[in-house]
Amino acid sequence: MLTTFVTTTKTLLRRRDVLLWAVAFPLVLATLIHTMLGGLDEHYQLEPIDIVVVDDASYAEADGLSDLVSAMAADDATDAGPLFSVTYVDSQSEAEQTLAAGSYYGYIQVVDGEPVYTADSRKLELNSDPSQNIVKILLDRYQVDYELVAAMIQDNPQRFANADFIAQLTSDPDYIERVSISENPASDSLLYMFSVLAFSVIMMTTFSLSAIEAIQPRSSALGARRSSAGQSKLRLLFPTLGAAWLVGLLVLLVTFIYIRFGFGVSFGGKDLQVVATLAVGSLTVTFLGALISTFPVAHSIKSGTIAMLSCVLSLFAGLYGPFAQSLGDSVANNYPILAKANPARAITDALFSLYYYDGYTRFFECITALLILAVIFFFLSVFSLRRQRYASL
Amino acid sequence: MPAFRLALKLISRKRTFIALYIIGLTALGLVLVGSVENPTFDHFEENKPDVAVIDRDHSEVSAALTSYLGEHTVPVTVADEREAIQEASARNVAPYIVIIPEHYGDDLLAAFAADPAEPQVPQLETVINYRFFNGYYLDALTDGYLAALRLAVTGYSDLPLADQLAKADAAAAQSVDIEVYHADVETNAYANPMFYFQWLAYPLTAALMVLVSGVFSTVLHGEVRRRNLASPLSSQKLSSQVALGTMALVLISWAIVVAAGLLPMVGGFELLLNQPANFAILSLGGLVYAMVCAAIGFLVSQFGLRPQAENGIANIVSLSFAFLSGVFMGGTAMFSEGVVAVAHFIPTYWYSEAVLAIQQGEPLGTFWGYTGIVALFGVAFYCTALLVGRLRVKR
Repeated sequence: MLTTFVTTTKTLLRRRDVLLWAVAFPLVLATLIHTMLGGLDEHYQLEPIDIVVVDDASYAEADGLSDLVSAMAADDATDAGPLFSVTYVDSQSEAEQTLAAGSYYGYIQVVDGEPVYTADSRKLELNSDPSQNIVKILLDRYQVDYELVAAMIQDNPQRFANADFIAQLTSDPDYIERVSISENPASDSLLYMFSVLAFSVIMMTTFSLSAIEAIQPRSSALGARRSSAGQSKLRLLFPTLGAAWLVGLLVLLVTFIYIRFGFGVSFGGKDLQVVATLAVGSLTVTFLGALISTFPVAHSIKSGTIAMLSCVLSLFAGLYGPFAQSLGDSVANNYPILAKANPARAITDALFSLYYYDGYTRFFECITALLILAVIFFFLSVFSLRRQRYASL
Repeated sequence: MPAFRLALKLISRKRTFIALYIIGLTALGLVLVGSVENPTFDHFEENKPDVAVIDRDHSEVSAALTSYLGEHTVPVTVADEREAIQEASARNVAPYIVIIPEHYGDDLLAAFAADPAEPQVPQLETVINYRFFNGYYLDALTDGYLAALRLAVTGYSDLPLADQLAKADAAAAQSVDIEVYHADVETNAYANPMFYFQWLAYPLTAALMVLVSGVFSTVLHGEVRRRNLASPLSSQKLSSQVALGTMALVLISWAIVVAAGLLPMVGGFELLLNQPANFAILSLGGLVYAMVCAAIGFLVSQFGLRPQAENGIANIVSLSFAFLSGVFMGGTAMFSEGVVAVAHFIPTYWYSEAVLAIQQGEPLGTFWGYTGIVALFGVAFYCTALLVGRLRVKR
């Protein structure tokens, strides 16, 4: 068995085309993702909102509105800088001409003493761009304050003779404090790295596919020769699977080290646990590859199946961008069993759980799911291998 | 046309790859595009994100704030436990969580009373999902209500709290009028079919690279090449007939992916009915791009690699091209300038930009300009392939 293990390991490491595929692809992908999306988290920071203001007599007469707009356009409007980038025009027609260029969200105009906001129809995608909502809520707030103060003047005008009272009304304290609920704040770019690692794990299926095919009599002449030797199938199977798992893990470690130290991506100081996750993931896909290798079809179909499987499973693990992440989250929230049955998603979730949660409950749930999948794949592949016949009477 | 038939036979032997790459990856695109909500562009609709309020105070003030937020958002219940809050935030069940601390109402009113001009107010804690766009909006919403409450409490200090809250609630119900400006340029409401047209670059690149390189590798290298050289068919006729066979493959692949876009989950049929010119132009753009993919496959075939290596290269190239060109993200808006600069050297980027030009109602000249660049990429790949082939023959 040891000889089979050593020989299979050497054979797999000498398969340059397989190694190129299994090593180069994850490294290229990780480099791409890191280069492209390293600054992705800045995307979620607010950019100044381009708006047009009709600066006519009505606007000048609207108490406090110009102060609000100017305050929002000032450098200290938010921690990240100005909230509005304002272009002033003289009339509504000029505002619409300015909007026609397509780079503004809308224009503010005062009609009958009240502000009216006209939003550009091309910028009404509110789920991924909060700008229109923000303009509206700030104008609402102006309206609310205006109505309240107007009511107070009507109800109790003498109080406005007191300068202290007016100072009290104009103070604007901060009411909200953002807090992080985790020691390691999550980020979008990090999630893509987890997805890349999960994708890499799925690709390790290639090793067990090649290794198991080499012991199957109907897959190759080599397999036929090895089957005719006086060694039981199980004594061939275990060291072969062990070698495929080891080579897969080694390749994954290369990818992990590349991401961890090459790009300086932090895994929350839990590198050993990440390696353990990769080891379990590699075990699961080793058995998955063994199962696929038993399919009675040509090698090209099996390798194509693996390529397709990597793509499909990674889609729900969020590798293909924000839409895929939303889809994966939706499936995981509504059908948790499907998420657990997807090794790529389970690996991504395990890595995320390690990084984000204080405890290990979620992490162990994911690891348990991977181990259950491994057991299922193992028994299915053993069952399939045992029932195979070659040149049999 | 024996070589043409040979090419078709070689293509038909790669049925698995046709099924996996063209049908499989197209199906992935259908699932993904079908899961995206098509935004409305004709009217303004207040966005109501999922928000959880954890009320540890249970006072009149906290109840009023919770009620106000409930009207403007979709309330979600989250248990007041650290792990539950982590879970809800991480899984995007409640991307915005407001935690109202104990004694918040009393402390807030006391702060207003102690120093009305510069009150040292207690802080509400908010937990925001890292992928949540609407954090500032919800901050402003919450902040706005508390500001209205402060005005009501300060301005009507002689009234009981219930009346002050009623004043704040009544005022907070005010809202400005929102109108929608429709630009002269046609606003394209077909975001999902447009996203699909971007996505189809991925299956076309992967499939045509694998299939075309596979066909030409078989014909150009090894024993088959030697047999062909011994045959009475001239090299020119052989090449042109095989090229014709691959053109048939390009057309079939293109037709499959474009036809799949007509399925209801994508909404391409509505685009075809309402904007047939745009559909036709986008389809034509897809065809030009498919030919470029075939040229890349032709180039790969010149290197005489093993099928598995060609398969690997096709996967790496197709995924890299798609990622770099923003095909999976609906554009390159999320990328840094450096990455976009690199993407300019990829045909997929120009194809994706051409689709976006149609989506954003830009002049048709812009679309044709981008598609022309895509075609030039095809010419460049084809010429490079011929050069590499010539150099290999000379060796």
